[in-house]
Amino acid sequence: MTRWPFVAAACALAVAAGWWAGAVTRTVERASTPEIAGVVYPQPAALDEFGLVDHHGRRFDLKRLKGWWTFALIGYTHCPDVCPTTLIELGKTQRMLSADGLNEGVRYVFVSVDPARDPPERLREYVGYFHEDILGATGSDHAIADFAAQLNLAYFVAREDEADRDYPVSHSSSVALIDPQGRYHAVFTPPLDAQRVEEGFRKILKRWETARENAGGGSDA
Amino acid sequence: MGHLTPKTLVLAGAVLAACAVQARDGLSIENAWARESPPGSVNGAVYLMIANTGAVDRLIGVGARIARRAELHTHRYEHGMAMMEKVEAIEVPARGRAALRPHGDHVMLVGLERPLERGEAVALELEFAGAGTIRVRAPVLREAPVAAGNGS
Repeated sequence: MTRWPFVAAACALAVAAGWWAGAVTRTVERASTPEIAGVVYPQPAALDEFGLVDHHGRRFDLKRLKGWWTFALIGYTHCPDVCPTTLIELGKTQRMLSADGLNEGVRYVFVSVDPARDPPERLREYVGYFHEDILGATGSDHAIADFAAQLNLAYFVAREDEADRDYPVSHSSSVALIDPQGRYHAVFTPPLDAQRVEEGFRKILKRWETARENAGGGSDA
Repeated sequence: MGHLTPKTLVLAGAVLAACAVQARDGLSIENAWARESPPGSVNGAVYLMIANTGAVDRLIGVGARIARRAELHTHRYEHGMAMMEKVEAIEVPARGRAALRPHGDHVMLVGLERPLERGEAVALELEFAGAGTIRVRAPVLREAPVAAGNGS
């Protein structure tokens, strides 16, 4: 008889401890990978060298990602729906981050996977319509495939032959986020919403700065 | 009653017309808009809402003079890719709605005669299996009007 209160208390304690441990785990998980409208990778993978051409005709490679947060997406200028919708949202994200004073080290890159119809000069006009900060890039079929594969962004150019000018291109409409060390840090999944991207990016940035302070307040990167 | 001047009535009529409620046999088309062409873009998209107070119907075709071809399209998400594909019809449920909007079903204008510019409107003929042809004018906008929503 006298044991029951003890057993009950032990049970209550065990439940409480379990709850507490769970809460701590949840907190730690949340702290290590913030919840965003997409996925933040627990261990961002460093990108390998790649060689694209930007809309000014300059080489766009791994070196140019270092020191910047880069939002990157793939598409094509003949895209009637998904690309314009996504680019308009990214333009809004840019304006929100600028208003917050957080856009300093941020870049936006639209990579055309349709080089046959999207030479750099055409890309320049196209991306400029959405926002002057968006950089267009493209390259050889091989270079594009390499870059897109590194970001897990799938696409398929459904061109039947050389004469075919109306072909559609199926492509991932996720937006990849590359960190200032050139690592694939996070992905935002469609349909893209400017507000949610801004919120997600703020969380990522906050965690990044906290980690840097903990590491000794270094000012590299 | 002093407010109901003929001018007010005309204005009210104009506002109603601007809301673009083209109705027939229980079907009405609301919030139609066409996407402004980004530079160099040769294809376009038109979005609209079909409201139905009657029996089930199907949108089976679309005509637009401004493009070489107008097609009904949808998006299918597969392996993380948005696969845009042509569909034969878009169903409009009885006493329900069918929404054609960004990232979903839409009218694709293939091979525009000229770029679509804000301030103009695209004339479309929507062909329904039951209700027949409904004419719509879709104003050209940069992005979805707030009332029409923007997907999810």
